Amino acid sequence: MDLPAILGQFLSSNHITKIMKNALLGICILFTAVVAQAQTADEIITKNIAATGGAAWNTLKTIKMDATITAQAAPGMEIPMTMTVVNKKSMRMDVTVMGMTQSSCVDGDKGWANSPFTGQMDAEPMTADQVKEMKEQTDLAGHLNGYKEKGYTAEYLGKEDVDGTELYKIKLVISPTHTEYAMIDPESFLQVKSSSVVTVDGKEVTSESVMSNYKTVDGLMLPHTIEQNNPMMGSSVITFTSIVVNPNVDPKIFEMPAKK
Amino acid sequence: MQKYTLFFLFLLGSLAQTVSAQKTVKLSSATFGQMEARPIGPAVMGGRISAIEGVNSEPRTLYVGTAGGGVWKTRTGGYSYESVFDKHPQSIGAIAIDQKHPDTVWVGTGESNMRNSVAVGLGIFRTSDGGRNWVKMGLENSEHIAKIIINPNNSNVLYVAVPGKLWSDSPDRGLYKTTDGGKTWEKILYVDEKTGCADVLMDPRNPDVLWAATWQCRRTPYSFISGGPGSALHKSTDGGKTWRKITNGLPTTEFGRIAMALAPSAPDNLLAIVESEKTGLYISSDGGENWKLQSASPNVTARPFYFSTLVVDPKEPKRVYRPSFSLSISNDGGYSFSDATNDGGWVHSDHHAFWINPQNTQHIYLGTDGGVYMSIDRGVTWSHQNTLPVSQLYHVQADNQIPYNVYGGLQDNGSWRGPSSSPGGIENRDWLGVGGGDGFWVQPDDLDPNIVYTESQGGNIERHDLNVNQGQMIQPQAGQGDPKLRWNWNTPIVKSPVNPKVLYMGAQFLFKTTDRGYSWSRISPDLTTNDSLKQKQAASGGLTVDNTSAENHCTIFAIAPSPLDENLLYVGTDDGNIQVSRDGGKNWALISKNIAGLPAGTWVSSIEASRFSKDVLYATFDNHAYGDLKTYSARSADQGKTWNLLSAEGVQGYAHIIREDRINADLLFLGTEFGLYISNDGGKNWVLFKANLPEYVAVRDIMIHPRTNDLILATHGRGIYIVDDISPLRLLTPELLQKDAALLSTRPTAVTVGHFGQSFPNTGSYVGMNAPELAQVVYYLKDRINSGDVNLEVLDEKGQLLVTIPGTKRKGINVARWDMRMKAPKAAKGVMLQGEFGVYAGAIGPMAMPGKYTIRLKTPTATDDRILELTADPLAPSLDYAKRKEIIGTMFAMVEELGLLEGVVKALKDSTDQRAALVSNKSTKLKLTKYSEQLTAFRKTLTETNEAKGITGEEKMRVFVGRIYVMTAISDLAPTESTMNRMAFLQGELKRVQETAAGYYKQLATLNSDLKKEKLAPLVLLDKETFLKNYNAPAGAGKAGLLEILEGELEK
Repeated sequence: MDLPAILGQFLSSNHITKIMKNALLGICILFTAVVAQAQTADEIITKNIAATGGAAWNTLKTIKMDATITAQAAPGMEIPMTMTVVNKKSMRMDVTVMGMTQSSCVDGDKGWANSPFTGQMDAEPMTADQVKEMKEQTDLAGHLNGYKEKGYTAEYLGKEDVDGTELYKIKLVISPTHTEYAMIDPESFLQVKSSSVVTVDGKEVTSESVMSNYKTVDGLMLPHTIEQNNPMMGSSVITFTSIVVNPNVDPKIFEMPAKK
Repeated sequence: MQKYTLFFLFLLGSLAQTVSAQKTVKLSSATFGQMEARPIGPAVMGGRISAIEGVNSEPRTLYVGTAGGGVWKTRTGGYSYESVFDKHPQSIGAIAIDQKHPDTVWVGTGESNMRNSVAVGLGIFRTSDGGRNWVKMGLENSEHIAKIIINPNNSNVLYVAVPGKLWSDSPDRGLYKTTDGGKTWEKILYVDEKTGCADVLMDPRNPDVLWAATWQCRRTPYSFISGGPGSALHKSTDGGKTWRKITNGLPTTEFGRIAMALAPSAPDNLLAIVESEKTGLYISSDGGENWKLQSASPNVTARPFYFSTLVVDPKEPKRVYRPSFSLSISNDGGYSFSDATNDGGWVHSDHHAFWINPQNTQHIYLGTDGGVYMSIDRGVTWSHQNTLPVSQLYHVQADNQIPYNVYGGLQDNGSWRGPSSSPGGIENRDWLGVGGGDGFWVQPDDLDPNIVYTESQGGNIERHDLNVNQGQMIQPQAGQGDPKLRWNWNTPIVKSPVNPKVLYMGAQFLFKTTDRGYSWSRISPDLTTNDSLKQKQAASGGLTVDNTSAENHCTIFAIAPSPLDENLLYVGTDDGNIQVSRDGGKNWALISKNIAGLPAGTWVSSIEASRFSKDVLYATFDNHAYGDLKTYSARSADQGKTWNLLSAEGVQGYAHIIREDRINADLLFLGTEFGLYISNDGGKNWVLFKANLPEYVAVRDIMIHPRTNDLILATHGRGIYIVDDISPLRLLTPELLQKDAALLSTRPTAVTVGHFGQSFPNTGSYVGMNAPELAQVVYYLKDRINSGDVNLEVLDEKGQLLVTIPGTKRKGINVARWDMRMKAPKAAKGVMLQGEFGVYAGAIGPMAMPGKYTIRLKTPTATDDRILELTADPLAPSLDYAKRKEIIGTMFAMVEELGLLEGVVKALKDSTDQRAALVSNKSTKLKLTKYSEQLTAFRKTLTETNEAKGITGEEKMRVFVGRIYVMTAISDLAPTESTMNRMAFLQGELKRVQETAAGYYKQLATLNSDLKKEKLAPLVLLDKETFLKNYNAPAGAGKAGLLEILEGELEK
C-alpha cells in the first residue's frame, strides 16, 4: 500500500529526515559562530572570537547539548534532540520522533546511523562523504577560529543587507567542496546568520541558519536558538534547553550498536 | 570576565534603545521581510536568450544570458538552471568566461538585439566565484553591450564592444579595453556619438590582432534606422592602439550592422554578414584584408540588426552556423546554406545565441526568442530546455475562479492562461496557450469563463473560445471615410470595471463594444497629436526595411475607465496626450498640457482612475525612447485640471505602471523598468520591493486581485510573480512602524487539509510555488530580535491555548504558518511500518473548526493580539464541521486511550524486568519473569513490535485505530459509513483490551507482596498525567527514558 500523497506532503519520513538534517547543519553552523572582524576578514574574525569567548575556546574539549526542535510545519510537535561532541574526534546526535530515536554518529574516521523512520532499525555505516561532513562539525572552536592554521581561507566580502540588517559577510573556504558564509553583526560581532554550501556528488547544497539568543556558558557565548527557513515548510527552530561544557563523555556511546 | 561582558552588553543594549527611541522608522525595503513574492512562471515557452557561454574544460557548466531575466547557470548541461544575477540589471548583452579561471565570468548588461522593446543595462559585472557574488566593473553609461572577449594569455586584458545608447547620442560607445582586469577602461575605437561597436574578434594565435565592427543605429518611438556612414569594419594589429578600415571586396555603399566570425581551426578565414544595400555573407581567407560575397540566402540576410550571430565550428573551418529566423548550416564555408531539419520537431524562431562544446562539436546550445535548445547531433534535432522562467510579459489579468487564473501576453511567445495554484505546484502542463504572435493584453470575460480576448501585435484582437480552442478576429475596421487606423504594437484592450459587458480598445480612436466585439462603436475623435512626422513606420529599418508595427505611433496606449462612474473615461497616448471624457465618450478634453516637470510629448505608459474619488487619477510616463530614463509618475485630484509629479527619489527606471490599493488610498504600487516600488504615504516616498523579487526586474503591469488581495506582477523577463495577500501592507502606516512589534491582519483562511497532486517532474523542471493554504500569521518587528524568543500562540474563543508556533525574528515583516491543526494525540508507540499510514496518528492533529481565533504574539518586549478568522472551505461547502469535530474527537480519544494503555503496559513490563533482575528468591523471580512474558505477549496485541527488515505487514490495534483517525484527520470530508462502522467496532475492541489489561493488573497485589519481602519497591501503574507529560522522553544516549522517569517519580 502506498502512503497517501497527502501524508507525503504532511509528514513523511523524508520530512522528518529533512528537519533532522537541517538540525545537524544548524549545529554545524553553531560551532562556526566564531567569526567577526572589522574591515578585513582577519580583524572581523578576531573580534568575533573575542566576543564569543576568546581563549575559553581553547579549553573546550567536549560538549553536550539538549535541544527541542519545533517546526511551523508541525506545530504542537516538540522533537527532542541530544548531541554529544568530543572535540575534533567524535559526535553523536539523537532525535526522537513518535517514540523512535534516530541516531547518527562519527567517531574518528568512521560513522554510522540508523533510520527508524524509513524502517532501518539497525545502524549502518555512513559513506566517507557523510563522515567527512559530520566530522567537520566536531571542530568545537569553530571553523573561523584559527582558520589559517586549519588551512582555510577567509575573505571579507563587505557589508550586506541580510534580512533587513547590514552585516559583515565573510567567505570561508573550508575545502574545494565546502564554503561557508558567515554574517556577523557589526556591533556585537556575534554571528547572526550562516550559509553553508557543500558540493555533494557535483550538486551544490545550500543551507542557511539564523542564530540568536546568545547566552554565556562557562565563558563561551553560544546561540541558544537556531532558526532555519524553508519557503515551502516554513521555519523550524532548534532551542537549546541545556548546554554543558566539558562534561565527562563515555566513549562507548560512539560505538556502532550491534545489529538486532 | 563574564560579569564585565554582561555589563558591557547591557550598556550596548541601553545605547541601542536610546538611539532607536529617537529615530523615526520609515518604510524601507527591509520592512517587507518575509512577505515574499512567489514566482509562478511560465517557463514552458522560455523567453528571449541573448547569450550562451560554456566552460570549455567542463562543458556541463554554462551561463545563459537573457533579454530580461538575468543570468542563469547550469552545472548539468541544462537539465537544471539556477538564477545567479538577481541583484543586478536583468537585460544581458554579453557573457565571457575566463577559460583559464572558469569561476571568473564577465557579464555585460543591456542586450544588443536592438528591437523596440529592448531593455537597458547598467554596465559590466564580474564574478570570481562562479556567479555567487558579482562586482560592478564600470561602463555604467553603456546601456547596451554586444560582446566581451578576454585575451586567452592574460586574463586582465579584455575588449568590450559597446553599441551604446539606442535612443540618443552618446559619447559612451565604441570599443573599450582594459589591461588591469576592469579597474580602468580605455576607449580604443570610437567613431562619433551616433556610432557604437557591435562586434569584435581576436586572432587566437596573436591576441594583438583584432577586428571590430562599428555600427550606426538609432531608434525613436516612431522610427528605426540601422546603418550610416559610421558603420565599418576595422582591423588592428597592435592590440587596438591603431586601427584601419578594411573595405576590399566589401560593398561600397553604407553599412548597417556587421556580424563577424572566425574559423578557430584556421584563423585566417573570416566571415562577416554585412548589412548594406547588398546584404550578404562575405568571406576572407587572408585575415580580413580581401573579401568576397558568398551566400545571400534569406536566412543569412534576415533582419541583420536583430540576428547578429554567426559561428564557425571549432574544428571544421568550413562548417558555418547561421542562427537567424531559423538555423541555417553551411558545409562549404558559407557559399551555400540549408536549414536544419529538426526531424519533424519545432525550434522557436529568432535565434540570438549559439555555443558549441569544443570537446564534442556535435553538442550545441541554441538561444532563441523562446528559450534554450540543445542538440547532440550538431543541429539535426533539438531538445527544448523548457525550464527557464524568463517569459517577458507585457500585461497581466486574472479571473475570479478558485484558484484564480492569470492571463498575459508575452514578447514573441503569444498569450497564455495559467492557474495561480495547481496541485503539486504550477508546472508547464498547467499553462494553456490562448493566442499567438507577440502577446500583450489578455482579458478574460467576466460573464463567461470560456471567453478570453487576446491579441497579437498591432491590435489584432481575437475573441478566443476555450470550449473549442478557436478564436474569431474581431478588430474594429475603418469605416467609410475614416483614415487608416493606427494600432500600437501593444494595443490596449480594457474592460469596464463597472459594466462587465463593456470592452474598450484604442487605435487613434477609442472603440467600445457591448456584444463581445461583434460590433464596435467609435466613441472618440483622434485622441493623439496625429503628427504626420511621427507616422513613417513604413520606412522603418534603415538599410533593411522592418515595418512590423513596432514603430506605429500617434496611437492610444492606455485606457482607464473609472471604477466609480461608467461614463468617466481616461485615455493616454504614446505621443503624450491624456484625454478625459465625462459623458461616456461624447465629449473629450485634453488634460495633459501642463504637467510641470514632465517633458512635452512623453509617452503615457499607464493611467489609474482612483476607486476612492472620482476626482483622483494617477499616470505614469515613459520617456526612454527619447533617451530620458527618468521615472515620471503623477497624480491629479481634479480630474486632470492640475497635476503633481510624484516623488522619484530613490526610484530607478522609467515608469510602466502605477496601481492604487483597493483599501488604503495611501498605498501605491509603481512598476518601473528596474523593479517594483511601494509607497505607504501616497507617493511621497517610495521603497524598492525586493523580497524574492529580482531587484532590477522590469515590472510592466500590476493587478490587485479583488478577492484574494494578491498583488500580481507582470515582469518583462521573469514571468509572473504574486505577492500573496497584501492586506498586512495596508496596516503598515507610518505610525505602526514605530511599534516594537505588532501583528498585522491577514485575509480569512479556508480550513482545508490542502490540495495535492502527484507528478514526476524531471531534474530541473520548473515548478511554480502555490499560494499558501496554511493560515499565515504576519507580524512586524521594528528590529531584529537578538535575545529572547518569539512565539505565536493560537487561542480558541474561550482563550484556551491550542498550539504554540515558533516565530522568526527578522527586522520587518515576519510570516509564520499555522496548518490549522491542533496538537496531535499521544498515540501508542511501536515499530515503524513502511507504507502504513496508521502509524502517523501520533504526528497529525485534528483540523481546527471555522471560527475566530486569537493569535497572540509574544516577543521579549511586547505582546499583541489579533483575530485570525478561519472560514469554511468554499471548495467543500456542504461539510458539517460540528459533526466532523465530534467524530474526530472520539477517534482522538481512542488513539490516546490506546496510547496510554500501551504506555502503562510497557512501563509495567520494564519495571517488572528491572525487579526480576534484582530479586533473589527463585520463585519470585520466576513469577516476575512469567508476568513480564504475559505483558509482552499482551503488548504485542496492542501495537506492532516486529523489528524484522522489510515490509512486515504487521497489523495490530495501533494501526487499526490509527488508520481511521488518520483517514479522518487528513480529509476535508466527513468519514464514510464504512469508517464509522469500523470506529464502532474498534471502540468495542478497545474496551475488550482494557478489560484484559485490568486482569493483568489484578496480579500486582500478589507480586507486590512478594517484592515487599525482598525489600523492593512495589510495581505501580503509570498514571495518565505522568504518561502525557513524559510522552516525548527520548530513548537516546545518556538521557533518562520513561522507565527512569517513572522510577524517579516513585522514589519521591
